Amino acid sequence: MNCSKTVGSAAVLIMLIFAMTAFSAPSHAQTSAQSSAQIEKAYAAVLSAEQSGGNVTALVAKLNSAVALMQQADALNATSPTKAQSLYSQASTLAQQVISSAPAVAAAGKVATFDAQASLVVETAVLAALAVLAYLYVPRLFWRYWYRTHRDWRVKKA
Amino acid sequence: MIDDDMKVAAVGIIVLIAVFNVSGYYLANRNVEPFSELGILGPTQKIADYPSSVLTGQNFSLYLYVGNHEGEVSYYQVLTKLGTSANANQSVPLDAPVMTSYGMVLLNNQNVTEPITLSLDHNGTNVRLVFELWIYETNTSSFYFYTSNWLYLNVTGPSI
Repeated sequence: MNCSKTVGSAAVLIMLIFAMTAFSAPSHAQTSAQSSAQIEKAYAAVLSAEQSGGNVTALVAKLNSAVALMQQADALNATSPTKAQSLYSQASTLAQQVISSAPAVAAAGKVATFDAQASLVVETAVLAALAVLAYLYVPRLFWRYWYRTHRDWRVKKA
Repeated sequence: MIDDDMKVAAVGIIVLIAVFNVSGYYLANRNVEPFSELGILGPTQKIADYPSSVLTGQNFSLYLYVGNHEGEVSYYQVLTKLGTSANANQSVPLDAPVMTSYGMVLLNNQNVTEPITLSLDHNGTNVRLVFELWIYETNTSSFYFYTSNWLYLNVTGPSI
């Protein structure tokens, strides 16, 4: 009676350990897919920041580092899974940093776009005002200048 | 009469400046016909000196050139596959296992030339080494096939 109880407990314990091992340690394929998904999410964030007018050069450089790390991890996955997992995790961290920095870049881009549009409107208004002034005063200014530069001229008899 | 000509000339010059100013703002960084580039360069980074024959299992070097003129930042993947001359088609992806993949994110009007090292494990004559360019699409959250280039190689030596 006591023996069968012990055997039963041992079996449950073994099953528990097996289940924990199977579900707690993520496979490398999962980690690769996770970091790949994170990089794709980061790319979408960068694209959105760029569409808002942000300067995404630094974000793209960081994202390329994440892509390079993921590539290294893919190459090492078969021979050195522990190192590969570490590289996947570094790639995910970099991608996460890109995702969290993108909104600030987008906001700065929106401000820069607004400033550029405002200065374009001001420039166009100044040019329009110049056109009106030119229309009104150019002939007058021209003749005044012409008179000044030709005041010493004498008219000869033909 | 001369006064009218002067008015037209002065206003015309100012209007031209305004048009260039406004069109310059709206056309900056806008690609009329978006496209991407894929190129395979030889070991000297030129469209020449490609290896025609390699030894089985031995590394050989090439350069991968990718250019982005899509009008926006783009995420690319270049996949290498092995095919034969029978299934050569540039407009569809090759139905074959991926040997290696190279990922890169490029800004608009940016290009990259990346050194790559490959090795082929099986003997063969006129083996087609295919390089496929795939672009990531955020709407579908997946890469779509864009174009491919290839190189014919004779792989000689003992199979490993």
